Amino acid sequence: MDRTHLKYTLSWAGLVVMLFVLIAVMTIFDVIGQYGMTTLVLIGINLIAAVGLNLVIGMSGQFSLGHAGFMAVGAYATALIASAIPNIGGFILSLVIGMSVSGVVALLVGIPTLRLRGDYLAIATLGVAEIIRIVIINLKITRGPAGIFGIPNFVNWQVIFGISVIVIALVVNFVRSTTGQAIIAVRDNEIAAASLGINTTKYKVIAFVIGAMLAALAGGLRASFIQSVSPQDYTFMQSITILIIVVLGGIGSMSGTVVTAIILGVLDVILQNFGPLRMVIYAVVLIVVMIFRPKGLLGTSELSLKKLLFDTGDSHDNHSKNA
Amino acid sequence: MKKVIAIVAAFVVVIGAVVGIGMSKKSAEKTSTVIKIGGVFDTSGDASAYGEAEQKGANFAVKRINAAGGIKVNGKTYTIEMVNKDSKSDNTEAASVTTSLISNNKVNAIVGPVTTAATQAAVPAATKGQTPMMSPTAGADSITVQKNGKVQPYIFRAQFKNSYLGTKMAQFADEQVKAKDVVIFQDNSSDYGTGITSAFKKAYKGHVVDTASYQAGDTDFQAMLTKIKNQKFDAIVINGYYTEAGAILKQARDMGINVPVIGPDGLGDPKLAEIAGNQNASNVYYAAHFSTQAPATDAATPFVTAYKKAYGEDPSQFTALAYDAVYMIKQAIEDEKSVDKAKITTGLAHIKNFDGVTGKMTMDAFHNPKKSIVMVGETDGKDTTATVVK
Amino acid sequence: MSSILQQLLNGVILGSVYALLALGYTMVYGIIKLINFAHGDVYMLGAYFGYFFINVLHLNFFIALVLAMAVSAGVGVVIEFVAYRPLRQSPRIAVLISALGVSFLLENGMSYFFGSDKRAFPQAIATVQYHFGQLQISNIQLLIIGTAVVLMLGLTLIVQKTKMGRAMRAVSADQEAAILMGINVNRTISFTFAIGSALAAAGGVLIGLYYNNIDPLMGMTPGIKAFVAAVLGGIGIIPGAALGGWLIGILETLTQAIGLSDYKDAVVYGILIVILLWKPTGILGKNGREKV
Repeated sequence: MDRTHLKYTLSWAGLVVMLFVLIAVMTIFDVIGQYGMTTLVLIGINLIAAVGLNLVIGMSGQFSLGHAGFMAVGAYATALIASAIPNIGGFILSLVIGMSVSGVVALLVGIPTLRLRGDYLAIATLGVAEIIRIVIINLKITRGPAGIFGIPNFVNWQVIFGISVIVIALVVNFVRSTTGQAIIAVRDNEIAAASLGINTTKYKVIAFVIGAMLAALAGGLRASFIQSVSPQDYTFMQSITILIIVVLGGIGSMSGTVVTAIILGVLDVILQNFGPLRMVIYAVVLIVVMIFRPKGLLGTSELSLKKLLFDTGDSHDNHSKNA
Repeated sequence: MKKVIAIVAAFVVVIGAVVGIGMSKKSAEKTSTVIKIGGVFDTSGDASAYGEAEQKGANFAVKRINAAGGIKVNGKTYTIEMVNKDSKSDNTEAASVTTSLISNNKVNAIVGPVTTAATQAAVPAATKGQTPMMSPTAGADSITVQKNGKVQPYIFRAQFKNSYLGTKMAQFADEQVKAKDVVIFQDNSSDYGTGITSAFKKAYKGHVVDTASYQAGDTDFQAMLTKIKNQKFDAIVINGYYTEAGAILKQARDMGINVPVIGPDGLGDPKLAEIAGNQNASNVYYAAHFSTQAPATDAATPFVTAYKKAYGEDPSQFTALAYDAVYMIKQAIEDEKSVDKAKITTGLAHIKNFDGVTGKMTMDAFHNPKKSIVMVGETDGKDTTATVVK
Repeated sequence: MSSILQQLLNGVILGSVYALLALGYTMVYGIIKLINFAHGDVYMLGAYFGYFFINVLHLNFFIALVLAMAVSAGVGVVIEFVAYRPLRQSPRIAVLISALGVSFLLENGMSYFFGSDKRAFPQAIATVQYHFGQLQISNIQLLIIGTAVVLMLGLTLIVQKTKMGRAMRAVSADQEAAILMGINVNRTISFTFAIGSALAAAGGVLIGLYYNNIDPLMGMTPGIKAFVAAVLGGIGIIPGAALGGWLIGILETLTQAIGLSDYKDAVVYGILIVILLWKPTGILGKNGREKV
């Protein structure tokens, strides 16, 4: 068992290295240019936020409409702290603080609302995100609607690539851990899970807090990369953008999230040439994909290297890819 | 194991292909007689009404320049190609689109973005790509200034800066309207509204009775108007755009509040009177960049006539500013006799006595155009008076 | 004192429109558990239909209102048929995303074809101000309150007294049992969308007339606020939506009246969260036991 496990881990690692080399070669020979670079980094940032949201939705079965609020917390933490301490230490500190604040807010919101079933989390997070945004608009320190600019940039594609890989690895391991399995049990059947003695609220709150912290991380990275933040960046639409990545990829499927983040990023680049028609096309794509693949591109299953490369027959996860 | 080998082999082939493309791309550069101007305008989302107006203005300018024979530099004739991209009223998108225009479309200069926040987000991209960028309407004082107090080398604007607008409006309220007490309505969702308000408050000699905030997209102002109705004030100042200002105007007049209304250039759109109703759009003064009543330069009247002919509607302040932005780039190219990005940047920084539709402009050291403000007065929805505020 | 009364009146007028919108949300949620994000955009479409009927076809305002409601009802049925019905057996979140897609499509499609700029709504009825002591109200404001109340009473009659209304209540209570009882679920759901959309369109036309301007994004913010109103009153409960709508309208007005205009939306959301914590099912909601 340990040896086969090692084999899969190694093949995933191999894939990651190959991807890294591919991007590196593409930059060295200037095939994708500065714009390709920017697009890659933005895809990576959306990816980090979406993986966090997928943990919340996929693992707890409740959905959040306020991811933008947590991203805003991270973004403003980085904007304020990294501007005050413009070195790499300050930047890392700002990310940590942003994630902590965001985690605490999530804890405060999550504990009362996650006790309930239904769409309460969605409504509460929607409200919290709007409140965060309105407070940011009215505070002096956040410089109101104009936002903060001139934030030092510590982010390039290598940083985002590294952080994305680490985040995905950690989240996947978390899902496979005992805690993660408990969370999935909660999603699949809350009453049964509760009757087995699993503290359902606790695990939902854990998933929610991790999701919020990853959102803050993504927000902080984006603030540093774009070098400016403003409250308009974190409206309801931003929450929806991330939510769409998760749902199109397949709720609960981390590889689905990765694939969709990339596909939507590329689609955006292609649609850019359509001008105002782009959002119309985007809307139609959204409806059509949902009608024909209501469980998302990958459903709840994961891309499995085991199936792809070694094909031993017995599937690691019990879900079949027939969404 | 075979599959693993196959994947590794495929990988090597892909890398080889990428290297090949990269090598062949290097030799593809050639000279052309086209000057590309990138347009970063919000044509979808919240700011799309303003973005569309500006895109029309820029396109119209390009059309006129090309129709008049393009730009002649050192005996060579260049035509302009406008490459417009939608920044979706999203600041990150503004940054990304700017990068795309610079690195993929290889534009010589950029017109846009529309708002202060989007411009701030696009500044690093333009600076990194060493491409001059002129925002027609970003108002925040800070966008052309770096953290260390030096000027942003590549960033320009065609608009007044907010503090200048606010100060001049205060002066107008003091001297012309002779208002002792005012009530301020500000658009709290953009720096445009809050920036002008704070400058106004600083410069205004009278008393500010109350400041009410609203968000872009709000339509109901009954509560705020009821609140101020029984207080004593001589004028209302609306720091925002014509969309909400029109609604405030209508509801105030319906309620019987008939004091003068003063606003910045955001009110300068024919839609203001349409939304408020012509009978309500009286005793309204807004800071204008151009007015057919008091044309600042000889360029204004022909522009309005030609634009009306082409689009069948009156141009707004937004349209005129984008139009001037393109012509300033043309001026810079002609002054420096080069289509090189660095030269255009130098040319823009040295623009002097440029006869634009929106006034005679000279760039100051911080890339803000110095031009006079005309306060246009409306009666029954028509521009009837024009007062130059010195 | 009179200004407080006037502010309450302002709140009720504003709230009437939220209430009309909230009814649509609450009926749809009650019957298929969907937060219909496209609802605010149907309200926008209704306003545009009204604009078209009055401005282009030069119809009388009330005829235009009724026609706009009828056409929008049709649009609502089509939206449900195309974008939601195929997903009846899918996870609820898939329908939610589909609803968002419809919302984007309507907003951006209207911007693309008709321009994103505001349009002045034709003033089919001249504004007349009435004064009652210190209170002031216009004929259009009275029209809004009156139409809202009439439509709500009509809706209550339909739901309580007609066969279709009984079917709606049955499907909302237990869809499978309703099927067993011989109720045509698809038809009932279509009917719900038709009614909800017609109410939203009525709101849109009235708002167009009142504020004199319409644009393709006009449904976004009222849409979200109406949803909040529906949750506040108790989602799925028809009188709750009306109550929630009026409460939100009054709250918003009072927040501005006491000088907190910077935070008016934050206060609304804050109260929503407090109410959810105190009574998750909303003000009029019943605390039902969870069933396995």
